Amino acid sequence: MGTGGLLVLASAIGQSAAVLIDGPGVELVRQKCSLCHDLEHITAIRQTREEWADTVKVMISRGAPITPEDEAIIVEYCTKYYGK
Amino acid sequence: MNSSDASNAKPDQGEKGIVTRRVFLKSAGRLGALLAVGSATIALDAAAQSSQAPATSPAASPAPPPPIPGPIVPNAAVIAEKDPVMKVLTERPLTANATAENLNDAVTPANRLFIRNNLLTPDLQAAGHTLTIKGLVDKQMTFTFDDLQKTFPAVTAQGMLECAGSGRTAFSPLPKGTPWNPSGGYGCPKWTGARLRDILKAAGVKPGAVHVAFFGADFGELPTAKPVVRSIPMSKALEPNTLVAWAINGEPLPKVHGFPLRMIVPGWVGSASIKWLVGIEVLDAPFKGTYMDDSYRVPAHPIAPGEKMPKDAVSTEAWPVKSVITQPAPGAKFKIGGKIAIAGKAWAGENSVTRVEVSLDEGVTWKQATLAKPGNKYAWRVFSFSAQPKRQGYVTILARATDSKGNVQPIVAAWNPLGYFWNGIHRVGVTVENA
Repeated sequence: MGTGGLLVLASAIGQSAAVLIDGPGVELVRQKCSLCHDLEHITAIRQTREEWADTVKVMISRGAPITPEDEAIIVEYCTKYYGK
Repeated sequence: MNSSDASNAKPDQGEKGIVTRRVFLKSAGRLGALLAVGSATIALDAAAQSSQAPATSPAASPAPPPPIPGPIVPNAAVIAEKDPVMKVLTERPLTANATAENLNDAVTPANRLFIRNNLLTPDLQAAGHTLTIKGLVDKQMTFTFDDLQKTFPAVTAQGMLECAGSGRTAFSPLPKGTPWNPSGGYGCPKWTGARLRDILKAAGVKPGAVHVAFFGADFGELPTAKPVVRSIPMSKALEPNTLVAWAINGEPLPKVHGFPLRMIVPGWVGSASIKWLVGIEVLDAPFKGTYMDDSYRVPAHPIAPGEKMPKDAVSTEAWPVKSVITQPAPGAKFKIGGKIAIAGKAWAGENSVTRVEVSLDEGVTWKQATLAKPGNKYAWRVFSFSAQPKRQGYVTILARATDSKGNVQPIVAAWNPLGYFWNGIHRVGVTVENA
């Protein structure tokens, strides 16, 4: 692999090492959401409870293995720490 | 694995998916070790996860062929083939782009074309690859990769490809989704392939056919991940520039760009140009699925920034008129008495670009740029303008395009909840120094 590509990727990975705010539900959110995507998809935005609920529903419809109990915890966490 | 059978996804269905995941984990682990960071770590085993039935399973929706999990191309290998100017925006899913100043070529080189995956990059082979046409057709047909090229005349045309969310970070408030740069997420390479209409004609389209759906062979890390499926109206499917493409700029498609076959639906949002094409289905209604109904939608009427998606949302189709300044680069320095060579590209979805104007005074005055001869229908149009800076200091260069329907590029694009169709006026700041 070319050095340039490695550098680009290295910086991208550094950039994508998102740290979720610690709080109730953080482990579940990290575990479930990072099954398929970077956590920046959470940390980069601010959404209302309704919007987070919609977002999690779309993830379930795309195949995310999230039970109704998990769903409630994830929506609560995201609203509290990444709400608007 | 699709909208009709995902509700009974069982662990055994996931076996192949798990093998695939291990391949991915292995490569991700290698990469992580190589770079001494752990962000690619995936601690969970898919088999240990309870799988949840998807929320919807529309009865009207036909069953797409289940994706066949197989080997993948690791991100590091994908990026190694790209130009170092490419910036990776997200790793999972992989998205990357070059910004405007690196897209000055009249024809976008493959190694600078943006990447927008929804799932993983499948490592497909041309030998044995097939494309099946089914649904509302007189006869279902399957072509091998070689047969397809022998059966239908090859067409080469330059065509715009642009992610629906291109430019998303220019929106305020920031909508969710891939954080595309204010100017990035588009390209205009030369595509070679068979006309979709020739293929549809060979199969014979039945009365009542209104949409054509495209199925890719890509798959996700979880066996439950829904496949990426998009359908387009028959009128666009029959448009002579809509191609089943096998080459970009005269070369085979790179793996990340859909090798060996992909759709090219030029001028429309990139999601219509399904990569790793294995299936085409003629339908009596738009395909129902998460990539049709949950995303790639915009309000039918303008809404206030920050409002939620209204009920009357519509599917994203053609891009509106847009232009970008590809030269000079932001931050470039010039001397009083010298010249600033300004250049860029303009495009307009289903319309054509008729005028591009440039301003060096924040839009107080505009001057007409020179337009290069138009290429084929969906090619972007190159513009140029030579400016002579008269005072020292910071100068913002603006460009705005007008299309054949009289649509003018806006200062700020209409805000929408998913951040699509950013076509606001592009601005590039440079500095003029005393000679």
